[in-house]
Parts: sequence; structure tokens; C-alpha cells
Amino acid sequence: MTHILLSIGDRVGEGSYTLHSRFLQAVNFASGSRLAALVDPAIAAGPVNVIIDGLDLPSVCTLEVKGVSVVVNGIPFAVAPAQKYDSSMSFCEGRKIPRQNIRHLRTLLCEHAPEKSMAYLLDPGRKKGFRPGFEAAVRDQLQQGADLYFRGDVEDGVTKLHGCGFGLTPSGDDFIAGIMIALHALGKDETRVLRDRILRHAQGGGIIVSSFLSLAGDGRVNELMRSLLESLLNKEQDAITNAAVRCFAVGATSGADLCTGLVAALERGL
Amino acid sequence: MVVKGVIKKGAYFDSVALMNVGRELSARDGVVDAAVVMGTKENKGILANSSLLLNEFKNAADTDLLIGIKAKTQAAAESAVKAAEELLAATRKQASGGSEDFKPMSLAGALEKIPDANLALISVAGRYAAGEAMKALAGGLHVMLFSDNVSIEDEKELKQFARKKGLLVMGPDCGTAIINGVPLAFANVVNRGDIGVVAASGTGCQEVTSIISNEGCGISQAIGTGGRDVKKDIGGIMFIESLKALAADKDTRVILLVSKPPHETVMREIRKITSKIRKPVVSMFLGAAPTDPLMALTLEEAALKAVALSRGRKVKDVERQLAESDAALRDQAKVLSKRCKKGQKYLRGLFSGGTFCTEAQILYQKLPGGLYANAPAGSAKRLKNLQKSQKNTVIDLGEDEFTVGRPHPMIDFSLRNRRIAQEASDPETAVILLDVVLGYGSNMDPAVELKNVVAKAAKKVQVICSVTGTDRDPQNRRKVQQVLQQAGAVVMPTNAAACRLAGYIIENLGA
Repeated sequence: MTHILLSIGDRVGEGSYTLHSRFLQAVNFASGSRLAALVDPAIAAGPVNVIIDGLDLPSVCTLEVKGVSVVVNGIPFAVAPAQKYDSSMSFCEGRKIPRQNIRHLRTLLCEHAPEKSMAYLLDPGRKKGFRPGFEAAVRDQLQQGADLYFRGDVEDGVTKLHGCGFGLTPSGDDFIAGIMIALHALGKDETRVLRDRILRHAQGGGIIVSSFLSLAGDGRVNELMRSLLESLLNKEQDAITNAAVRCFAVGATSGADLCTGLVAALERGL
Repeated sequence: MVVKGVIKKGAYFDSVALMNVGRELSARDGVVDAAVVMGTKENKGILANSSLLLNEFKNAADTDLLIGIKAKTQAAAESAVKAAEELLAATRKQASGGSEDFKPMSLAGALEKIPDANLALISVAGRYAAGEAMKALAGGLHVMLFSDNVSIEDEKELKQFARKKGLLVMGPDCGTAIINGVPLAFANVVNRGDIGVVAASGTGCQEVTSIISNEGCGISQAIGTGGRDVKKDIGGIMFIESLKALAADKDTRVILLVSKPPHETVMREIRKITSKIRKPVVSMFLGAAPTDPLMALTLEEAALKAVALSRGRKVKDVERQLAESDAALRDQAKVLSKRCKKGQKYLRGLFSGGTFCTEAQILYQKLPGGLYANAPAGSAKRLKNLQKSQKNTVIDLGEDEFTVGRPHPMIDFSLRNRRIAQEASDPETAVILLDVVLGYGSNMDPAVELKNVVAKAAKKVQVICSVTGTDRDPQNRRKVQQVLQQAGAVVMPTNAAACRLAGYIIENLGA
């Protein structure tokens, strides 16, 4: 079988990486504070994702990136320019997302987001889906964090949200990432300062979370979010629906939590 | 109340795994509350407020996994902690490949390990699949090509080359085959016997082979061809070669053909060859009206006719048997219709098998209120918004629009489960129709995945489902049927029977 490099994110830096963690469809590597992930072709291209077709992920142990090649388990793969995934949001520059498209995304979240996602911030009726006890307490804290943030108390809001919730990237961090992507999409001058404030208060959480947040802070998005943003800017509502549903399917609630942050921030135009 | 827990240092699990473990722990007897979260400062604060923070959790790092259990008894708490560790260990094992077995990195490496192999199953991205298949054929191996997105030109070249060498190319996009008793890809554990199947439809093949096995007969070979084989461009090369192979096979006494209607030129060729075969050939070309007694309208009818012939009985007996069963379905539908509430009038079919969704549409030519589908067939109209059903709607959740970036719905039930809940909440829904496909490759515990969502839906609407598979499948058909029945579903033996029952209910309600 021939192994072919399909895609490498533009934020995969040069260096010798060490194995960090393994999942069914991804193997994470770290080099200092940088993260790179070898992922299954079924996973979307992303800023730090490397996708090699035919690779048996459980057998992957080493990763090195040097010059224009990626070396996996000692096997070199040349990187052609066409294989570089451009994660920037430059396509949003000078363009505005129509309000009715944001409303449509809100409706989709209310109707189709997974049960325990943060979509209850948009549709309070969804709060019923959480078990009393720990789950309800997590839900309430996330609500408080979001309320504080959108009332203008950025520091306290982000502090309450960061690291709060279920999952490897806790729900609150997915929500914060969604806000930062919205800030980029809005493209206002003051958003850079606001993103810096958010990132200052979202420190810690391990390399996966910190890499995830700093990429969102820099306006770097994966293929699924890119399609969603492009559809919000350009397309008919059916295209938004299809792109959104694919985003909602990421993780247990991660994709929907991120989209909730995106919608909440876009609606407020902050 | 007892609180127990454990820290898993530097343990990384994806969010789906953590949520699944949390859900399973909370559902255990005697467990009052459970948390499975990363040890961030904020999560520790919430654990403290929920009386789930153990002293040893206080020094946990952001990258540590915390499992906290509050239970009524010491035994329940300890047992839940143990269960959490086992569930996480199983997830970890899956992520690391499940075993330490040798995993070859190439076809050549695999052949070194199994030098007498005569078949290669290829599942790589479409653009590389043809190259790998050609290597296998050149090496004298039959090929099962699970990959899709192979060009028509490549498919034709591969099949012409294979025909010259006397080899089979099953696929591309071939999901099911049973060769010499070995189930390949999505296939069921069936009896061996004297019925040979050629199928250009994966779930169609699973349904007929399972019905045949459940009826007590068995399969000699089940050869998949990929759905495109019977189209004009490919000319039915492998469908015809497979038919000839079964005609020559001494272990095959009855042949069963399953496909969407082939192109007319392919059909003529199939008829020509069939007329020369001395064995009975039953056929089911989905959507084509039967024109002779050996043709069938549904997968069920086709399988039962093959069974009758294998037993030396007449196919007329099957037609009588199905007419009796149809009368019983109409009676059952009358009873179920009376349970429907005012305003409930439509059917919502949520299928994981594409052929089952098409079969439903073929059977629903005159449903009151009309029929909508994401992959329309027969008289069905195209659904405008995939996320919202219109009147009577059937959806193939295995279509590309639902599967990009996620496993097939036969494996991952989450999307369909959400849709079941959504449809059950629609006041116009009278019946939710489901298929459950067992066997290798499919979800290993469909009963657990479905029972809660079906139980909730069945309180509001009629849930009717079929279970494709056998009691020897890893999931055990009988057990899955029992769980679904206990959850309130009406479980039918075949997709056709489930479709008919659901359709009769809608007819009785009259839209």
C-alpha cells in the first residue's frame, strides 16, 4: 500500500516531536509548546493536522517535521504546496455575515445540537437535559460565565468558562474559541485587544487546550469551521445547514459548544 | 451517602468517550451522581459544590482525569469506580489498535504473513484504491474493493483485467460478501448451504443471506459487485462473471440475484445467461415489477423463494405464505392505528441501510399525503431540508450528506438517535420506522444504543423496526429484538414486513 500525504496544516512547525496522546482517530505529538496531530482521513484538515492516507494510526510512534518534509516512523513524505492546508480566515476580510444567516445558525443549534451541549444558552428549554447534581452545576457555571462575559466582565467571564465542563477540551473552552473566531470574522480593530484579554485569562489546561485556544485566538480554523463560515458569508440556508450539522457532529458536544460561542458573539457584534 | 473516586494521571480521552462513561456510570443502580472530567480548577470547584471532590483530587493537574462517584452504598460506589476504570481501559485499548498483532504496512507485507491468501480486501482512499487493486489482481488475488470514489474508467479497467485472469473484483463500494463461509466487511454469521447470492447491494445482501439462514437454509457464496457494476458503463462485467461462477459451483443449487434494475443491455445479457443455467435463478431487481414467478418484489420475497427452491418446494407456496402474512399485518395495523393520537398521521423512516430505504419507497407508491426522501426512488419527492421531515418522509442516513467526518450510521447511532427524538416530538408523526443491521462491522451493542431513545419515542408514537442479522452474529439478533420489544417497539422479522405494517397504519389514519 502506498502512503500518501494528503494534507498538512500551516501551523505545523518544524521540529522533532514526542508522542503526547493517542485517540481512535488521532495521535497527538508535542514539541515544546507546539502541538501536531496525525489524524485519520475522515477527520477534517486543520491548522496542526497531518493527514496521511493508508497510515495505520495505532502503529505511529514518531513524528519529525523538517524543511519540506514530514517524517513518520522514519518514513519521509515530501510536502508540496498544494498539500498545505491554509487555516487563516482571510476569506472573511471586508465581508459581513448577513444577520438572517446568523439567525439560521441559531435555529439549527436550538434544533439539532447534541443534548448536553451549551445550546441551552440560546434555548433555555434545553436545560432540562442535564441530570441534577454535577451536570446541572456545570451547566449553571457555564451560564454564569457566558452571562458575565457578555455583560462586559471579560476577565471574570472567561475565568469561569475556561476549564469548565465535560470533555478533553472542556465545553467552556470550546465556547471561548467560538467567541474568538467570531471576533476574527467580525474583523473590527478593537477585537485584537479583546482576544488578547481573553487569552490572558484562559491560561493553563495542558498543551491540547492551550494550543486549541491560541489557534482560535489567531483566527486559525479547521476545514469544517471554514466551510461553515464560508456558507454563512455566501450561501443559501441549505448550505449553512449542511455545514453546521457537520460541525455539531464533532466530539460529544465540542462542535456545538464552539458554534454556540460563535453565534452568541456574532449576534452581539462584539 | 458514599463518595469514591480515582485520578487517572495524564490520561487523555476524547469527549465522546468521557460522556459515554459518565452516562453509563450515572445509570448504574445505587449511583446518585457521577462526574468524569479533566482536573481543571473550575471543574474541581464544581466537584466541591456537588460534594464529589475527594481530598486526593485537590492536587490534580489540568491534564489529569478525575472520576467521582456519589452512591447510596459503599459497594455501589466501589463497583462504579471499577466499572469506570474498565470502560476507560476498553476505550484506550481500542485507540491503540486493540491488540499487539502484526499489522502489515503493505500488500506485499501481508502476503509474506499469509502466503496462500487468494483474496485481498482493499479499503483505502478512492484515488489510491485502483492501484492497490491492480497490484492484487496482478498477483493472482481476487479483490474485494470496499473503497468508493474509484473512477468509472478505473473500475472498468480492473474488471476487464480480472475477467481475463479468471478473478473477481467485488466493488468498488462493495460493503458485503461471504466467501467460503467467511463474512467480509459488513456481513452476518450465516449457515452454509446451497444458495449462492450475487448482489449489487450491500444491505440487500445482508438481508437476504440473514433471512435464508434464519429460515434454516444456508449460503454457498455471497458475491458483492458494487452498485455501479450493473450500469451501462461497466456492463455488468462482475455481476455476469459471478453468475457464471455460481452456475459452475457444485455446492450451489439455487442462485439469487439482488440489485437495483440493471441497464437494459446488462439485463438482456443476464437473461441470456440465466436461460442457459440449469439451476433455478431467483431475482430481485429493486423497483422492477416481477414478470415471472422467479422474480420478487422485495428482499424478503426473494429470500423466501430461494429457500423454497432449496427445499424442493414450489415458489407459489411463498406467494401464498406472503399473502397470509400480509393479511395478518393489516389486522395488526388496525390495532396499532387505534393507539395513534389525534393529529398523528405521518410516517418517518430513519434508515441506516440504503437499500432498505429504497425498498420502503418502492412499497410506498400510494401513501396518503405523499412521500419525501433524501434519496428519492419511485414516486417519492426530494426532501427540501434534510433536517426537517415533510409529511411522510424516509431518510437514508448512510448518504454522503450525513456521513462526512463521522462513522456510518450502522456504527454510530448518535445522529439517528437525535433524529428519533426529534421525530417523536412532532405532533404529526404517527410511526417511526427503523432498520437495525447487525453483523461484523456494525455497532456491537445496538440494543444499548437504542433502548432509551426507543422507549421515550414509543410513549408518544408507534415505533416499528426490523432487525437484520442472525442469532450467531456477535450482537445476537434474538437479544436485540427482545430489548427493542421491551422498550416498546414493534419488531418485525424483515424490512419489507416492517415497511408494510407501518404503511398500513398510515393508510388507516388516512392523512
